[in-house]
Amino acid sequence: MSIRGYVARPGGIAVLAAVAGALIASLASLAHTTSQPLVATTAMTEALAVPAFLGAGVLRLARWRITGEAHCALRGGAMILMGGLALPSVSLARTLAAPDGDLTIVTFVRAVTAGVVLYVLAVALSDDESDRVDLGRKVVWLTATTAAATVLLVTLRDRVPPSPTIEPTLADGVEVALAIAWLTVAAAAAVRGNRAHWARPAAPLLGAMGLSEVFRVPDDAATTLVAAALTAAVGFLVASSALMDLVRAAQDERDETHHLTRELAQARDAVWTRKAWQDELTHDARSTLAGIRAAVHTLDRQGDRLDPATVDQLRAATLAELSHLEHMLVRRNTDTDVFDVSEVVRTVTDVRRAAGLQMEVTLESALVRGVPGDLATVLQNLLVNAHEHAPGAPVSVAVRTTGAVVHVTVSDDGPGIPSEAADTAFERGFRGTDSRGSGLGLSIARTLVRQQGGELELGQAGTGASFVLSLPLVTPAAVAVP
Amino acid sequence: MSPRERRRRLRVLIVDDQRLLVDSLSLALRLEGLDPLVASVADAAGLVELVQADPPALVLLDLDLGGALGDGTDLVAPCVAAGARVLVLTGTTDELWMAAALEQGACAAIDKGIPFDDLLGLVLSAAHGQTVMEPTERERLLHHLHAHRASRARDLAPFESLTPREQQVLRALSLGQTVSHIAEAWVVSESTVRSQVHAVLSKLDVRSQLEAVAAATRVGWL
Repeated sequence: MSIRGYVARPGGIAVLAAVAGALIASLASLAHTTSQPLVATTAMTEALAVPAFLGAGVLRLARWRITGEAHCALRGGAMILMGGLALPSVSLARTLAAPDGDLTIVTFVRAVTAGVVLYVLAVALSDDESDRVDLGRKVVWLTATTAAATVLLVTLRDRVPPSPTIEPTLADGVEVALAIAWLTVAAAAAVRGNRAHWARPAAPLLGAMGLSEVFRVPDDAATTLVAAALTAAVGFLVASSALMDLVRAAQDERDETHHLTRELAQARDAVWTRKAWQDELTHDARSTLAGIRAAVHTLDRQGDRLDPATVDQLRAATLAELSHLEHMLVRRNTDTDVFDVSEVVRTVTDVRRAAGLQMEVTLESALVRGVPGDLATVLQNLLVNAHEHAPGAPVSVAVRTTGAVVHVTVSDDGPGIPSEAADTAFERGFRGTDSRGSGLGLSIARTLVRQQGGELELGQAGTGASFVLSLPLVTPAAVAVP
Repeated sequence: MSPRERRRRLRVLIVDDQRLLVDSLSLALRLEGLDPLVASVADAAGLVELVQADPPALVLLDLDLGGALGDGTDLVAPCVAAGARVLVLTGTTDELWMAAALEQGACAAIDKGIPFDDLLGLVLSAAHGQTVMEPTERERLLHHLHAHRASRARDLAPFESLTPREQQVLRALSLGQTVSHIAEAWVVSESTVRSQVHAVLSKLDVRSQLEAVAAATRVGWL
């Protein structure tokens, strides 16, 4: 299991807390060998908390470098202040706690550092993402004020005689004030959780810090050890959550990169497809226009030198090319859909029947994916063709499924297509069978069917002409998927 | 038409998939006293054989033939070698494409979109062996093609320096695959793939995988 997977489990945090507890216990047993067991254990526990906070701060700053989130920078800074100044100064205070030791300066440094930490956390909590510059300025001001106050105190200490009654009171006062400050920030974090997603998980830890200050108030070795253990445990939890967040940020960054790469590939493909389509359309349109221009010119200048049949064919072919051009430009509704071929056939044949065409229609339900409008256009074209090609002869339309394919056969009892014309039936131009019909022409009909993955071919008719349109069927399972 | 008269007539082979243009053009050319022949656009080898067996005075060639013939540029050189003049008549507006046909030996490249009178006039001139394209225009197109090739070679040079494996890595990255996916698919270690990725980045002089893919897309290597 990856580190991330491990620390992300709720149990992972409990394990970390247990490890911290075990460490503290083993340190305590070690310390029993010394003359002042509790005090020594407390010092070592506090020493343990220092690297935890420093590590957490570095990890937070690393996350800030990756994500650029302001709160990460502020929290990282706060943790480094905590581990680098606030906690060592507590240890320092204890080391110097000789009966006649002067604790004023240490207490003051501790109070000020913890104050800075709290202030930074409070600022992070009230952080408005658009206001980072202002935040930075506030932190700089506060640091400067702290430094000035420290210098002032050092100067004053030499002038004021040490007073044994004031110092313990001062120390207690600082601890109570800090406890209240931690608990206030914790409450603020709990409330702010709605807006700053990181604040709510931090609230219990901030509360624990407040609690550890409360435990420090009575000047008792046992409660001070509890306070130190609490601080160390918080340090470990903070470090583990910082690591977890860093790992997550790195993973997110990687995911984001791959997501962008994929998007880029898709955008590129889309642009190329679109460009290819556009080039093809331009080329086709220009070619078609050139053909029309050539035909019109030839009819205009040389019409009287051509035989009437050729003139008629050229005219018909020109009109067919104009329809083709129009179709190229105005084909709008090209949304593919799953539909029943038989419904389209029924609609089209009903219309043609109303127009006087005799038809024998055989239907069978067959679901395909394609453009219903295009299929209707093709069928209409085939029926018009049959009507003009074999006037009065009955036309049969049959929908039949074979395996995974549906065949729509349109056949008539007319004279049929001569075998020498069969090869050119689907070509554009006046040599093909197009010239007889009006409308779209067989070549574009075939193109439309092919675009839907199907095929349009001449069928094996007994006497008349027969066209077979085939389309792949859609399996019921595929229909269910949108 | 007597055989003798037929021999006198200049033969023009039309290779184009726009049937109406082909038909109108052959009608017009016939009326102008030429002997037009419409080639089937289904078989490149057959077309070249036809030209070699009895070279016409002129081959009118479309460039975008689609289907079996595809790119008409490939047909220019064999036709010219067989002794026919080749006049490219195209619907494309791609100057590079036209220039490539000129480079292969076509005597001129003409846009199908010009007035039909002009078109017919140019075809007649070409069939009679006259110059139909200004040498300066020809030079301009060829220069454009060479400049384009040089700049493309410059763009592609860093990609050419990649080893086959590095090229595969870049292609896989462009599909949005991660290093671990690639390593898994190729049954190699992630560190192997990672070092190949680093080699790609340094050879292409880019800083991230995304930038590498973007560069490959920009120069059209992918």
